[in-house]
Amino acid sequence: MYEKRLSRLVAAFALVFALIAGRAFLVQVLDVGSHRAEVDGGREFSVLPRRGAVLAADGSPLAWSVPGYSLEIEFGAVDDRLLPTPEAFAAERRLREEREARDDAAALAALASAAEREAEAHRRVREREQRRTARDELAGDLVRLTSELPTRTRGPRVRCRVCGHVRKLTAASRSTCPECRADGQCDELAPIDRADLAALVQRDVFDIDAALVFALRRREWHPDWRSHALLPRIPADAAEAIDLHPEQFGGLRAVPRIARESDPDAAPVIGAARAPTPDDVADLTDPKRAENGERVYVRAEVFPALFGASRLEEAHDEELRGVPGRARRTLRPRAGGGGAEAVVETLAEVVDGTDLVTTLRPRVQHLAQELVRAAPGGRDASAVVLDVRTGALVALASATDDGMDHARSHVVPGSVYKLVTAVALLEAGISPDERVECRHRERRAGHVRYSCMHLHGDIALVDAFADSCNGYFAQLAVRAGSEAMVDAARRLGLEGNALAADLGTRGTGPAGLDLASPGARGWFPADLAMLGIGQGRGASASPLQIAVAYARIANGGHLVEPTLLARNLRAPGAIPVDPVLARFAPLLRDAARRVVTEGTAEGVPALAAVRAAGKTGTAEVWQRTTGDDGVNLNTAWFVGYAPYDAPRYCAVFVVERMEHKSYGADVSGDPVAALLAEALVEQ
Amino acid sequence: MSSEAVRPSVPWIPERWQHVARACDPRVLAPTFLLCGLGLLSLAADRPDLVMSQLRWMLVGAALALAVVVLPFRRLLDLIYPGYLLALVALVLLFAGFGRSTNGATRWLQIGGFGLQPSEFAKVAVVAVLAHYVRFRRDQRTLRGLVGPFVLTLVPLALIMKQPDLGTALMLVPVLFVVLWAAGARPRHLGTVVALAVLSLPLLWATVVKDYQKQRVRGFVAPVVATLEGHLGRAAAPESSATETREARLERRRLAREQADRDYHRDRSLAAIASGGVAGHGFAQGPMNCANAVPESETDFVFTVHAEEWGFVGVGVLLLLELALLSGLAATAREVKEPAARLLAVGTLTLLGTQAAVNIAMTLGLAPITGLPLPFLSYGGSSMCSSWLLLGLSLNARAQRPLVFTERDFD
Repeated sequence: MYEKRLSRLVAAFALVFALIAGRAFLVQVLDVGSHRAEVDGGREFSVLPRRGAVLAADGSPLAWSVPGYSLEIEFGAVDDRLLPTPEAFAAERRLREEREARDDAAALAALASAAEREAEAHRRVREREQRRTARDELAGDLVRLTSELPTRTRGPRVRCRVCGHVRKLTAASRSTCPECRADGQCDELAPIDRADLAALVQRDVFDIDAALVFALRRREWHPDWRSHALLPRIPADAAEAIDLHPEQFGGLRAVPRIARESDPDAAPVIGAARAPTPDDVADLTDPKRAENGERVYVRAEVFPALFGASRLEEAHDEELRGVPGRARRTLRPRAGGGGAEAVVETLAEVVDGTDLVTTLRPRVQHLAQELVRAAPGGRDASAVVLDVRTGALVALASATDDGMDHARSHVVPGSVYKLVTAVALLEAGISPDERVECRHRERRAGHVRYSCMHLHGDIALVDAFADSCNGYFAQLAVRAGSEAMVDAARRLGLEGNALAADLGTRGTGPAGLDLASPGARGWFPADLAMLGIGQGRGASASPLQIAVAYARIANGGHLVEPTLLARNLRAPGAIPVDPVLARFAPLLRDAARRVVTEGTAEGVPALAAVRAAGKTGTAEVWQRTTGDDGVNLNTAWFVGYAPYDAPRYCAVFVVERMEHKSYGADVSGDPVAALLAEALVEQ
Repeated sequence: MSSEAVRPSVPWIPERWQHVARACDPRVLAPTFLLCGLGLLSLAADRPDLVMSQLRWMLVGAALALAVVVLPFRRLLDLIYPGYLLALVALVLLFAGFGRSTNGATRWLQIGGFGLQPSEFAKVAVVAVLAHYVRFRRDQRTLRGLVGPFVLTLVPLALIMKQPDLGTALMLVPVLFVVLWAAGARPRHLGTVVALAVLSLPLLWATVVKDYQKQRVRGFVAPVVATLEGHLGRAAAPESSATETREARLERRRLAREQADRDYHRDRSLAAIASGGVAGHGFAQGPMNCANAVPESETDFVFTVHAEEWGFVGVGVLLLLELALLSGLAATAREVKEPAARLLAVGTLTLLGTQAAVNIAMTLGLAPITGLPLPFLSYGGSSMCSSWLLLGLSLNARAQRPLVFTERDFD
């Protein structure tokens, strides 16, 4: 029986080995193609899109992507001799912590008051604790990784100087590269000297050690990751050195990584780009996107991408970002000989980001930004320049303490709002020749006190506009009524948040004003009187809106909209005309010209020099100081267009919260003249 | 019939070494050396820096085998139980802080500067102890008589499983069954045991097994299912549930990662084997190997390197050599008369054969990726030494005069 069972056992093994041989025959001889095609596929990889540039009207760049370098660790090529020993890590860590303690002590000593010192000391102790915990974790990981080293050691590697191919050091691969067949061009990769590397990239050895441990920990979490960014940004010369002598930095490579740069003077329009947040990663890699027919990203596509953080970069982010492509790198045996060749096949084409051409003119924009930055006393200031025929935004500048875009935020308009009142009273059928008595100081219309600069006596529309008579506009606003006021504001484009589609609404203060419903109690005569002179409840407009309003009068009633992207521009002939505005435009343009020739802006020769017309505005803003006390501050406006007889550009300049005795024409007249001149000169 | 009758003395060898010469059966040793040679060849193509080390281990293994052969058989038998206990102690020591963990498993015993895999030696110990235990018994023909051998096997098996190293642990099961079967156990009884084990599983599953352990078992089962479902099919990731504990969740994630790794390894291995074609690419010319695209190419996937470089012809040669080795061992099992020696040969045959078959099947996508070395070919000191030790144990009896006074062959 034993003999029989033994024979059966051998027979069983023979059968098993025959089956295996059959399988090998199938794989190696009969069905080679399918296996190669199915599984020889190597790995898919992403082809990253270029983020589109933002260009000025003349094609000069306002925001562009520049190549920088990050240092990546290539797990396949890395020799684990690279890792620091736990002792070396601990020593570097000690050095680092001693230095931090010294820095802390110095920073504390520099503080004056004991209370500040105590608070700061608390904060620093807390931060040090957090850092210590993180470093303990790293140290623990290092010990673990080191203990696992024998199974991780990959042995020496060689890299081909010709094609960059990395592989194991073998007798054959030493002499001839299997990838490109180059003879004797392969260098053995040296393990990295961490101190050398640290000096090269201008970091501490401890930074390098920590980054290495962190990278290897990452590989444990994601075994399929081929590489990991060791340092996100390294100097260009370090990248060059690593690129030139890859054999001295075995397993490391400098990888081009795109950074975003932009014209700082165009920042209020362009905004900023940022690195992806965990939310971006979660959103774009969400499998549910597939249900909506959207591309589901892989993490490696999200990480290197740049995202818009604000303004134009944010509003047109998707368009600028583009869509990554996919490709597969397949390793195939070389026909008729040993070695392998890589075949790259495209699975999905990469779609580069679109370049956005704006209507901005760089020199006007630079000047505008320079002017707002130089605003008296460093106050918040903003400037807008519009092409009155098309609404093209030529410049938009804003320099504010809060970083908001005040050119698109609502600001108390003051007298520049009188244009709205003028349109409203004309629309209400009040004759421009009708005279109204201005008594300098009045207490009228529901207990609201308003005053006028001068005692104007009986005054008609054009003179009242030129001299900015509060008495005239306050009284006639009440007579014109709320409906006419609201309608005029709508016609002049004072509703909604202009350019929200292109610049977003972030950083622009409250959204568009709702003129139709001023509150539960409706419009009182007192409200209307104040609105008539651009003060009080409901009187609110952004510099951009005011520019649009004056542009609509300057161009004879064409309903231009502010436009930022060249592709959205409409030809002047294609822009509809508002019949009401068209009817009153000549009269109002005459009034605006009178402001410069003999009105409130008479004292600004520069405006006359550019043959401008416009309107001054000095809005009163009450600012609370302590308790119920406050001070009256002035917001100084000037809005002008030029040339007055054939208007081309409209410019607004606003400086907010000046001292009480600052007036619109004095503060903002010259900047508007400069902007108009610059815009006209560049024709 | 004595063993002298089978192997006439070699004329040019001194008398006192005649028994060693008799033991060195070319039917066993020739295929073994050739297999070792193939292993070295693959290693030289893949990791030339390890060739010398492998050669050293090969010599150490052969020396161990020789040392075993030189020992008188009785002395050898006396050493079996102490050896078994030593192996158990080594396995226990793994969990007593002397182990070294890699990839979540504690498989290496750190002794001074070098590591050792106790599970490799436990396999040898189990083969030996089973042969020793069963040799003069007849009760393996009863159901109750099976308890002893099962306990002797299941103790180290459980310890190995705890590492966890399911692949190595499961290698012990065919050894147990085949040795008992060869020793005359009734297939009926063995079948009953298997049936009982299968039937008790659901009960254990519902009561004793913890959540994370279930995940781990699912992780063991998933690749098997995937292999059965179609050799290139992806195993479904273990499913999550709302009530799972943190341990279970972590275990599930780990298993999903491992599964992805296994799929990747298998695909890579198949691609490399397929790229070998009929005649292969030649020494150190395999594109996948050169491109460093074969995972674990010096240990578990050494067959892949061989198949890529030498093609189907090389695979055929290797399989024939394996078969020759097994039939050589079978010849020994047939020719020696000492019952323990017979069972040693049968156990060795089963263990080496199963391990080779499972390893090769794994590289070909026929079996789940478990991390078993290919005996005599894979790089690794422990595996090499234990394989040689097994050969030494099986060949030892050939050197001896028959020790039994009665003819006994388990009939």
